[in-house]
Amino acid sequence: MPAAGRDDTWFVSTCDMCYNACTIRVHRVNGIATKIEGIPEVGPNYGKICAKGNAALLNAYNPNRIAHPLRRTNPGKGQELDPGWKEISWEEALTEVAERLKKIREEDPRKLVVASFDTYSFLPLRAFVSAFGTPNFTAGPAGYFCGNGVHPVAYTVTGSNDVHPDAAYCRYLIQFGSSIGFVANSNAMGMTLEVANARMRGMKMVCIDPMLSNTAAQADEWIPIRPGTDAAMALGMMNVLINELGIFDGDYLRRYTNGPYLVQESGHYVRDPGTGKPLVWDEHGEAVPYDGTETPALEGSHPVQGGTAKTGFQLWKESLTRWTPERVSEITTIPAATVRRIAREFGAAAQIGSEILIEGEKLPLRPAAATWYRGVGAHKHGLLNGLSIAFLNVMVGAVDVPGGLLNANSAGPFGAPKEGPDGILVVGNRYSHMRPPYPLRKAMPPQTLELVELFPVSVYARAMLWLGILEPEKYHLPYTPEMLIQCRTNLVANTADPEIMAAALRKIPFMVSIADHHNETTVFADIVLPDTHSLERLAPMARNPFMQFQPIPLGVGHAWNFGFQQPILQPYGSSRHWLEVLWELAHRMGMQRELYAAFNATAHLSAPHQLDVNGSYTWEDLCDVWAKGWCGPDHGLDYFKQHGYYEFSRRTARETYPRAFHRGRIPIYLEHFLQAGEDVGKVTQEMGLDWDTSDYVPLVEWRPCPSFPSGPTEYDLFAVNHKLTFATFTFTAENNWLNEMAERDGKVYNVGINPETARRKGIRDGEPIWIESSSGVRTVGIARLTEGIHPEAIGIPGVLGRKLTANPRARGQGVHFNSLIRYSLDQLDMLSAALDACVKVKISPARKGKPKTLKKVLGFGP
Amino acid sequence: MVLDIDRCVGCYACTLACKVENNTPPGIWYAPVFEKEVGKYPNVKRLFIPALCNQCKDAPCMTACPTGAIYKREDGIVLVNEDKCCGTRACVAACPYGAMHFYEDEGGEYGEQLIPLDSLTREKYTSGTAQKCTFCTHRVDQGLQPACVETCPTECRIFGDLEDLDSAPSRLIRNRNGEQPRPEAGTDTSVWYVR
Repeated sequence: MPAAGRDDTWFVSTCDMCYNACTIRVHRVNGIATKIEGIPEVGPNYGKICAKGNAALLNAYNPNRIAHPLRRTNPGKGQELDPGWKEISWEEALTEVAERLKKIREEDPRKLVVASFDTYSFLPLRAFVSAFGTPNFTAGPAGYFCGNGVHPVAYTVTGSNDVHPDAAYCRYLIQFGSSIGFVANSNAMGMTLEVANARMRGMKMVCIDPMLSNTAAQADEWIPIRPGTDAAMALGMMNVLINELGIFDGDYLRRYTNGPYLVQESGHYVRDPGTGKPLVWDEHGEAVPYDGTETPALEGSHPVQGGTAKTGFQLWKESLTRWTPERVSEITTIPAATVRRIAREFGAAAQIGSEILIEGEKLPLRPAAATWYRGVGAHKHGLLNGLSIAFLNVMVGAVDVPGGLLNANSAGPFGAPKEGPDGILVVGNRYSHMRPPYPLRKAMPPQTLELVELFPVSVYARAMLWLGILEPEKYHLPYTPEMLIQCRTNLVANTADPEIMAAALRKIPFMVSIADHHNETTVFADIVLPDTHSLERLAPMARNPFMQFQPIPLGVGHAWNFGFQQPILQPYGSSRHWLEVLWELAHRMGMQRELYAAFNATAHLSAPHQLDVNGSYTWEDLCDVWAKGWCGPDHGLDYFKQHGYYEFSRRTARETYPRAFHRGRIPIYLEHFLQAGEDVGKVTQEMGLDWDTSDYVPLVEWRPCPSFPSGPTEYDLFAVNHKLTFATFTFTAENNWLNEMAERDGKVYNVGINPETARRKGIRDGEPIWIESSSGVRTVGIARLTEGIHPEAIGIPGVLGRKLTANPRARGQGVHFNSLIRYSLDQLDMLSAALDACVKVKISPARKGKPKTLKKVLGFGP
Repeated sequence: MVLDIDRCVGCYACTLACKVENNTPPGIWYAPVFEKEVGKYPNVKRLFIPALCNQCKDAPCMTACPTGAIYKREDGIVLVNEDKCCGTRACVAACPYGAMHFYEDEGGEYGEQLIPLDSLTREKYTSGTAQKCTFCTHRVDQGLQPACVETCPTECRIFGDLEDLDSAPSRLIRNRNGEQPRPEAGTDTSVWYVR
């Protein structure tokens, strides 16, 4: 703990300004933290930290922090209503919360909802909710915002939660709307250096994006695209590669995908009557189980079981013929010649057939990769979009091999991907905590408020939570929520449609916010408990590369690196680390036995380093047991207090490039989607729900978002949301250094518009404009004319236009993009529960009748 | 120092690292990143241009200072002696790069409500004096890299001895046709750009 009096000490800890968990050291002089920096020799960031990480001190010293527990005195809840906060003691607060929790747990534990995006705390948090008995844990703001169109796809092709390009060997990188290597995504710092090095080495980078992002700015080629159409581009490229050029990795597809599986007319596999195994066509002209030959036919139509059956790849090949470059051009606005050229370049760069020797392993070398993230995923058909980009990599054999698209952490000291039912790839990482999309989960009437039971190929369905809360009867939920505990999430500002969010929060009878500053969400709380800053808390295994996909070692020779967050500063006011508060609440409720058992199970701890359910443990004890359980008896709490980090082992070639070392096949023919669609259709029909299951198709296709232009409309522009390298969600708005960056940058608090579009609309640079969505939301922004945007798009960055923030400097600055998004089933991806961020708007000068201030005029109060 | 603008991704890590390392007063940033849009849609580029004091060999700020408060170390780093600065701001006007700043204490990072970090700034800087990037002399003298260099995720800032023809920055200038910023100003900068 921080010493009073004179001191001059450096502490090693873990950064908390996004979810990448960079290693930092913090200089404390006389009790004041004066500097944060990286450690050049220690990964995953090797001395580099971003603008946010450098600026983290100001969040700790933010004078607008919450110092003591608060209770509302005004029963009315709303954005515009003053809760009438009254300071109360911790004892009073915890007594009440513990009593309420105890009562709920006795009645029906599912009535508790816990929301947090404190990814560093997910494991202990999962133990708490599991011990309590509620399935209602949500990562809150990441609802539609995050990886709905990424994680299920990454699991499908690699068995990992996430994927990234192998910048060490890649020679041709296509970024579909992603910013990998530009201070974003997994291991943001490590990847930024690797991609910069790769670019300097001559890797060609092509950026397909409606905006000239920072990534596109440094790309060799920026290809502007109409929003929501990336999948059409990827499918068009695959059509050119496979059907026009004959470029695909036959060996890879034969060995590592279900491309050779024979498919009957019903769309299902042809199965061996005895074993039930899918059949393939072998070199002797016979149908044999998929594991009965090394050289099955990849293409063709074959006589089997009295009929004929085509291979999955054959069907895929035929299905691609729909996506001619000319048609793709109409959809995407990318010239057909460009579609052909990029396909040809990508195919050539993949060097199909080449090999490389790494650590004595002879591996395929496929130095071409295509990446995507939220830009491609946050759409009505987001999962199909994500799969389209992923399969582009698969076709040229460039997944989990040097130079291609790699798993984040599917293979390591914790296991490796393996063969599951029907020979299809399943997760082998024993610490993986997400619901994988395969083996297929059985759809059933919902038990969870996020209705995840109706999304059997998703990893989560967070966006549905608020609909589940608002209409439990409609979804046949056998209970209604009684209490929400919310921490390190700004649900209202970060998720779509603040009106829906507000209505859902008002509907929950009792809400506890554990927060370090007030915002649009805490205003709905009944009790607010002050949370510590990360420089004030003891957070075990905050950097956990086995479980989290963000702080992973990027390649061969980099260490699996664990890190703690250390309490370096005295907590502000009487603030307490929120997980320690939950830990105490569990003990106050008499739930410790269940908590200890759940923790052992969640962390996969076994004797001697596990919790004795009859024992009694402090938070520090837990930290010690967990660290020893994972990192060995010499690496408990004391070790981490002294060193701050622990390098487990170096990532091997087999862990980095696992493709050649396991037999789990990538399902390029999504046969299980047929079953999933049937299951969901049946369940929802029985429930009387009007539920669209048409996206459950075995062959990936591009489908238009509801906003895709079907004819002339006055809502003729797409509003596009884009990233800022120096902002994370909303909490960075409490930091005045970062706010000043936003002010000085000149592109942040305004709306990017192509000059040609602006001319048509009579809009001039720097002037106020009205932005009106097709669903009737109207807001004001400042026009910024830029050549770096598609003429059909306007660009709105970050999560700005804040209504309520503790820091007055950020209030009302910029436009709140999420307010423009409509929250309804017809805007939702029925596979991944992503909410469509493709918003159609019209814009006009606001010179006449402009409001007195330029703050957003949208009201989302009661 | 050499700034490789092909590497820079415009992330402001350098800007913030410098801010914290040097406790610069509110509104004063020694290591900004500028940006320029060139071309017409769709053939358009954005250039990120990281900057700092160019540590000119022929420094206009030094010449302009009426009290001799600005001096150059043997290694070429140009510094301000606050004790001699009487606040004429001649140096601010003379710098062709906008790299000379003037500090007037008008509260802290959150206005009148001061935080502990504001007291560090007040200890370090005298209100009413000129302030500039020091190339992190306090770090360089200990054998460390300047803070902006160390934090840069793309390693676009390359620090070293330009007198040493074999140093990393000297080689970069030679191999990639380095350019000095605004050579017409005749300042002979110690900061070079490559692209």
